[in-house]
Amino acid sequence: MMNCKFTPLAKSLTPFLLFIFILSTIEFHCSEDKKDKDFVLRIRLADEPDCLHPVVSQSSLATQIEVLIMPPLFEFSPNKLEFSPILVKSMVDPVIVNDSTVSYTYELQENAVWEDGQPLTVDDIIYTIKSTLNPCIRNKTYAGFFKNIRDVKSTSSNNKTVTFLINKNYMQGQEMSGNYCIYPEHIYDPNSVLRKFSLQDLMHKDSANWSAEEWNNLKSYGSEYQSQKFCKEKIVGCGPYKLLTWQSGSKIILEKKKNWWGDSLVSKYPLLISKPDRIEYWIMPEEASALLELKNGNIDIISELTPKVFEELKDKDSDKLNFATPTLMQYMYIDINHRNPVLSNLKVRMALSHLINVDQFIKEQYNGLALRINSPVHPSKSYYNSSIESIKYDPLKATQLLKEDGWKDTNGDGSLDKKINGKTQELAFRFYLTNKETSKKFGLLLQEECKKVGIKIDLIPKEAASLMNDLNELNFDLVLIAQRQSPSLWDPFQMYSSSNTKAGGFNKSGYATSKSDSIIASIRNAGTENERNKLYLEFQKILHDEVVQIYLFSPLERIVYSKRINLVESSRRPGYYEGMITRK
Amino acid sequence: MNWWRYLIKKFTVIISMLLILSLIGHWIISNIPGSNEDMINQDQVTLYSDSLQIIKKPFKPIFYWSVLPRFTKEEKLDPSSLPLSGILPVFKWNGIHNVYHEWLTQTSYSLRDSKDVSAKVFEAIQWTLVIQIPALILIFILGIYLAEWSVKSKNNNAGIRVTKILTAFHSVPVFWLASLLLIFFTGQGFLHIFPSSFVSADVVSPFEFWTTKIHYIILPLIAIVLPALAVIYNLARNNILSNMEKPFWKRTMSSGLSQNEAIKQEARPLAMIPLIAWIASAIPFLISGSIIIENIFSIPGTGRLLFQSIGFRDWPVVHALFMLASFLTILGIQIAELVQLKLDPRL
Repeated sequence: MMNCKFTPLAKSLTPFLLFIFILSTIEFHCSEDKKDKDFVLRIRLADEPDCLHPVVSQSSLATQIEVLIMPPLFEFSPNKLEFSPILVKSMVDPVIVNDSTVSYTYELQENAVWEDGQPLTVDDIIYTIKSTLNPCIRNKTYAGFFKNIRDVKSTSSNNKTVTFLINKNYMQGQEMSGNYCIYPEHIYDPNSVLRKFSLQDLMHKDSANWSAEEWNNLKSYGSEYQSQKFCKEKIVGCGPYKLLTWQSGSKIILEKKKNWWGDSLVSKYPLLISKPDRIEYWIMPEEASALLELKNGNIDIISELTPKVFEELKDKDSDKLNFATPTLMQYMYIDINHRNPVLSNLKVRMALSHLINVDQFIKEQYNGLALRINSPVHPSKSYYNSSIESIKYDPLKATQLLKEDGWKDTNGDGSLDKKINGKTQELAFRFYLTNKETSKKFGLLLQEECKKVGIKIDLIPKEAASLMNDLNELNFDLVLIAQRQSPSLWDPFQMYSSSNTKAGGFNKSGYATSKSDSIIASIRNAGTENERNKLYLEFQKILHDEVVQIYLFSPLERIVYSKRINLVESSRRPGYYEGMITRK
Repeated sequence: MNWWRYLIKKFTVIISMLLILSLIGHWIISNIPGSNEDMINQDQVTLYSDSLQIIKKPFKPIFYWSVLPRFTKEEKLDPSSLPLSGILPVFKWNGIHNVYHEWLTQTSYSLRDSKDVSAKVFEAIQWTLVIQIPALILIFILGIYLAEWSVKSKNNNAGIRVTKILTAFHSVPVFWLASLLLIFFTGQGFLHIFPSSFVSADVVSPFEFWTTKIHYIILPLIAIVLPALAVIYNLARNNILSNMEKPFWKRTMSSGLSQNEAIKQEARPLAMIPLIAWIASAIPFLISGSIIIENIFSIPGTGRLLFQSIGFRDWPVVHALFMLASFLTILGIQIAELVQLKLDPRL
């Protein structure tokens, strides 16, 4: 009887099931066709980059693709934290010109040509700098970066030798002499609009001092420069790859140039190596579906996996997949607002630092995939102070420190208090953090530990942008921050100098003494590497002893890749270098 | 004559609603903390230390006029001691240099990639429609078909069983259902029947999916249709059942029609009327309701665009999508009303 009732439904489903069956055969054929002779590398991107225009782009995902199309003069090599030449013949040491200026002179690669066969010249480099200094473009970051350049000029008759004159006191002078993507002038500025403007004018002139005509020229050039055409369509460089297609929202495909000029030089210049014939970036926001594609053999690399998923995969699928955990140039720390009279007290800060069980947190939330750090310098750098001992998790010590400082629970409300300037002050802090899952878990951990010793912590999880607002207005007691680091020399000026303590400045903690200021100044002016490293070590020791901030850990990158490729790990984002990946 | 009047009336309602909604949109956006510039800076602060300038945008009023409090926070005056005009807020005329006027008269560009917003939305909506329109049609047809089937079947248990199954699908979170479908039908462990994402299909235009690559669409379709079926099924079933209790049903049955024919001719059209209103309310989901499905199946549609744009504080795009959704909703409601008028002479 029951069967009879279901028959009409089953009848109507039969063609549907048949249909699915037929379709399944189509898919089978499709996946068979994919095998071909070319080495196609497929990489998952978690989000679509906004554009492939290094100056305009806001997305950190774009950088990894941009350097393959329009490489810089030199770049950090994947395994060591030092520069390796790409468009120049060799790296050079700075030459001191006078008290305030140093110069770098590079010879450009003779064979280097743009996509259309035009040679790379010094004019292109000058154009690149000028175009970023245009006051009418949105992204002012580069303009600020370049303000320490004194001049750039061609110093040979064939226009292939470039000399940079750079402010001597600026630590990242070498970076400024060519560690940025170079644009072809004849394509981005065919009418030579920017040749009418001198580098000096673009660098120093105030917006009020331009004549109306000049300003209009800059404005109309700026809007074309940032237009859709150069953002997504016409992306031209002298790198090994060219943009083949950009399927909006799904794929970005790069193709190796035929007879590329750099192919004959790879033995001497490792960064010119470009093995894959084609690189496809698949835009897949959902991690689970990307993993399925990886297991099905459609994708080769996935990076930035969630630690938990990474560990699960390692347990289950280590026979099918490979795993890599290069270090990431990033660290987590708690910034402390020293403007708060309670937090300006060293003993309170030390007590707080003893209440954080960092090792347990790394074990539980990152499955052990993070390095414990004791200073804002990345542990892979030679001047990381490894003699500093990590602050131990020790609630008893914390209680003792607070007791020494006179904190007692006089009113019996469960939290400690103390009379400061005649007023009873409760030991309570506002702890700001982003509303990411791991941040919140960290917050809860700290809150619980603090409650045990009588410190009240108010957790204030906020969305990233509004958290930035509060930070800029210095409206916080404690805040959990994930900070990106640069592979280049560490410049503590920004975060620790007394001149940046105002609202909106980068010294959020507000800690600055005449001693720290003088060390920062001597770090910036140090003559030799030895001298500088000594100062670096000393400065890290001060930061640690004074508990200026509480340094937690530096997470490791989590990459899964297919067994069919060989991956070269790198501490630079995204953790590998596409050009050096080979097929097994 | 009456029709003209009716249409003109509707038209003015639509336009004024849209203007009000767009103003609300601008007001909300201008009050949300964080701007696109913050997002740029956040990422690049550490890369180029020593260099960042914090640029505050000049303030621009939202509308042609603004109503401001008479006193700033610092001035502590006792309002009761003042004449009435001293308490009332200040009315200020801003002229045409305001956000709203610029939005009305100029083309807006995405802050993320300087693309024309309308082009961007158009590109994304094609993908969404390719899936959502067939999904809507399927939900409608399958829902009514199942409802009729369960009414017709004499065994009451079958109807209840279908209701239970559909309600179960309705209460399952969409992302969970979609992930399950992915795991069962695309992975290597189970049935490797379907491809797992749109990205692996080499298509340029979304309409190719309906010619050569139809198997890419099936899983997303199932993930959208299954949870939504319960609503239509229950609506249609209850409507048909309630119509069958009305006096006209006895007349129809006594005229010699079989039950099947009677349902087809009499109950079905009547049951459709309330369903049309449902379609109107489902239209905004065409734009935003598919965020989860589009993320899981990597479909570059409007749901994902909305999600991305909010993340990047790309307000022109968010505002455009918001306006499109409200326009379609208003239009849908008006059309549904018209169709209902046409179908049901009682209204």
